Amino acid sequence: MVFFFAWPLGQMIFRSFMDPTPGLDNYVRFAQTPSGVRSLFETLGMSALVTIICAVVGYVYAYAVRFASPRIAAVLLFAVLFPAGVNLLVRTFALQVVLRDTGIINQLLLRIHLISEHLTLIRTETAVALGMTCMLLPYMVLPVYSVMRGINPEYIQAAAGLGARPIVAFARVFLPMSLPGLYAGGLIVFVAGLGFYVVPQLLGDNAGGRFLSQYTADYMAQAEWGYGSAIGTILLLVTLTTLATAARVLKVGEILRQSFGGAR
Amino acid sequence: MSRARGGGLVSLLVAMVAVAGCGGGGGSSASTPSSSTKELVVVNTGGDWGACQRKSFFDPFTAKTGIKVIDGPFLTDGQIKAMVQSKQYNVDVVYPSANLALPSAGKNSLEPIDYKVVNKAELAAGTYTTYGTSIDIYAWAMGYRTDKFGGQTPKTWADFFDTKKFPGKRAMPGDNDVPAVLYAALLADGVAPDKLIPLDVNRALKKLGTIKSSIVWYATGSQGQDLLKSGEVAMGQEYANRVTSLRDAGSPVDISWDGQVVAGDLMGVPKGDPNVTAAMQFIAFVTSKDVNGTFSFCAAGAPSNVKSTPNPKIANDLPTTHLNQTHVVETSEALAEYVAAHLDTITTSFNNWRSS
Repeated sequence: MVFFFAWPLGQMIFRSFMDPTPGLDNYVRFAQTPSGVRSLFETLGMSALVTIICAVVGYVYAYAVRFASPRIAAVLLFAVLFPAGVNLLVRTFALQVVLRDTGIINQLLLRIHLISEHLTLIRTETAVALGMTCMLLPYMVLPVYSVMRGINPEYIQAAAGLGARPIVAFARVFLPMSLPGLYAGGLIVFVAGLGFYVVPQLLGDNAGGRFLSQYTADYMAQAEWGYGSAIGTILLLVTLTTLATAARVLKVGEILRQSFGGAR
Repeated sequence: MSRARGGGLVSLLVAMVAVAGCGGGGGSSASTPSSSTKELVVVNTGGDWGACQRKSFFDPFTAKTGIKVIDGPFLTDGQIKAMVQSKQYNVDVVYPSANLALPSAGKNSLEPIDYKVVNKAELAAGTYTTYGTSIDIYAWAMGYRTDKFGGQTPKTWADFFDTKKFPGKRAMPGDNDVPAVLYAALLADGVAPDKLIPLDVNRALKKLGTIKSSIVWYATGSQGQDLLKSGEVAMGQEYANRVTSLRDAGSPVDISWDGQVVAGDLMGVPKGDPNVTAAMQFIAFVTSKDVNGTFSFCAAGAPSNVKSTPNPKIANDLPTTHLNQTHVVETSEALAEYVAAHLDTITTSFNNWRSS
């Protein structure tokens, strides 16, 4: 572990301060480059947005799976897991074919004369959000579903028996008990989202909304190791800060134990 | 090779292949002393282009010298530098960018080309430097749809920037070759090809700004080709061979050579490579007049050796046939030297403008 993770990471951080000259030059340069800073905020903002979308959609989905008949639940789980086994590049290309100006949606709508001018679907923030949600949804559904399975339905019956309406029983009993799954899924989705490259490259506008990974690629190809390392270090720092905050506020250790330890 | 070179996606993928390749056949040749080189690892990016290289260059070299040629992964300049620094020579013949092959930049990363072995007198101007020799010549040219402009035909970069007369989106390799994008904009704005230096980046960006909302930026040659093929864009700055191959496959596209940005696919040898003698022999062999032209019989790459005979059937699709029109030689030492010295500022200005 030390050899494969700590050593290269340490080298990267060291380099960000030493290459080409010792000091904070690489960090100052990044702070003074509007396109770089914008990429950082784009990366953080889009990952946060996708996390929220995944949380809402994933929660509803997991809820449906939890209370469906065993056969339907199996189909629903398969439907969310199967695409995750297909290569991310392939799925992104498929989305591109669906969304582009000459793509399936636009051609269909144009043919049935619902629209006269193609809709701008691809090369937008919306397309990136949609693509990332497609890729990351399973990582939200699974932990949420796992936690929901651990909640005894009798609690809700008990709440109903004590006079709570279904919505109140859900909000006061079921939701709080399922929150740990939502937190765990949210963390996974957010952190995974930060490193996305293919989806914004193929579905985004490649102009204003470039991800940090796209921005860094330019400089890595030019062998600017120091500057690239500095950007990597910044992203690492942001990720670790997020994790640390989450760990403190949400008691992540406990959540992960509950989500994956199979609390019953 | 440049046709497959991507600013991001492809180089990332290739990086993975490169890492994976370290443990494979590549390592064995590196340990072999130069005097008895049995195997040479040469970059081959695959596809039709790579198959053609094997047929016209690799196998004939083995037949002549007995040295086996093994396909190696494409390495970015960064990866070449890293390889030299770590002294792990996995690839003996690489494709450095024109910027790395310059006298100023190449000395720490590349072996000087042995021009006693390589006959540079026969090579086209602007296609060889101290540290790199072009194996073939390619071009960025303007590709356009023939079904979008009601019979009108765009000719020049000025037409490319005229979205009133020629409506539709434009594909440009902003994630692949930023200088080429800027050259096209400056030519469109009326700058003569020999007046491009010093590069007026602001003027180029201002010109690009006039069609900014119509530009679709792409990273790899295949992405650019796909944009044109699907009709997503009406015009594109594209690798010339990708436009002509689309046209030959029946797509309603054609090419304009006016203002093409010509470049050589430079081959170089990593500094300190144990097989440097055999590598130079290889470069001399593939750029020799009898061998260099054979490549054009299986792929649309123009020979860099002006004495060689290219395939007459595709002569009209080769960049070198159209050098009588306005063109820019991207790999010329003057242009490459300037770009190399200012690459940081150029990339950063471009990125800042693009994201604003």
